Amino acid sequence: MAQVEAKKGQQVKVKVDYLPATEDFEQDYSTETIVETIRTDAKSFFGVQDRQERDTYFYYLALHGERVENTNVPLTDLVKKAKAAHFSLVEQITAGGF
Amino acid sequence: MTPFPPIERWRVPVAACELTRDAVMPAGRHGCESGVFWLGERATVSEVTAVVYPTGVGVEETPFYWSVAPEVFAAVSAWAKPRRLSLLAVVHTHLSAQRPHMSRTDRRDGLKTLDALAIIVPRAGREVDIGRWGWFVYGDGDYRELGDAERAGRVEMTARAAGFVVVGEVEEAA
Repeated sequence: MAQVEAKKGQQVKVKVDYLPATEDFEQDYSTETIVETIRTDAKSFFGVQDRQERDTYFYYLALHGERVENTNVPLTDLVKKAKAAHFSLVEQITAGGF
Repeated sequence: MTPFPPIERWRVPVAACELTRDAVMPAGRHGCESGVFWLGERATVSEVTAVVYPTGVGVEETPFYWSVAPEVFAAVSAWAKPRRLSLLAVVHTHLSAQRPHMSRTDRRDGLKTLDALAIIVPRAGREVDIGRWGWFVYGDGDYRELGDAERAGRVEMTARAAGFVVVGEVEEAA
């Protein structure tokens, strides 16, 4: 019987899109990969970074329209048994004080 | 390959401008700013093919600013990306009839990607003449205004159609 579910340590095809970009970030990750690694790699691919100027800029991952609040967890915690995951990278801007 | 190929010119359907005004003027009639997103396939010559009007939770239309929460951007992404559309421009209104300039908030909330457009429609969206709109382009870490000559050379108005999409919760009429 064909294996259709990812097991511990298996690879997950991760795709991250970013609304202004033409191209998605795509890479295979182990199910044990910490999600923060994916967020970091995606930010690097899209050439953006969290930063604080007068305002604070933060880029978070969304999965199925929901913000991923905790990225310090293994990918498997989010995708369960899926073999692919499609995230969006979203910019959040918090206004600084005047 | 860069995810943000440079844009030399934009093709903007007149219909997209009309759809934009139709979307933002209701808020303007209540004395509030509003806005839409222009999407299309990003390329050397990028054509606006869809006008996206965000509304409902996460969208603030106020007399002083128009603001869209990141969750709404995520919803726009969910609609746009399967269609291979990218965000090309953020268009919003100012209530004033004066020549538009970008406020600190406009610069803060604007797209920070090469050749992103920020367009300001004065008179709460009632201004028909796009030559009186503010056209700004992002590059080298900030926005600069497209002068009339540069705009005429880089922004081609076309007679093509444009789609219109509402993202968010639509309030039912009373």
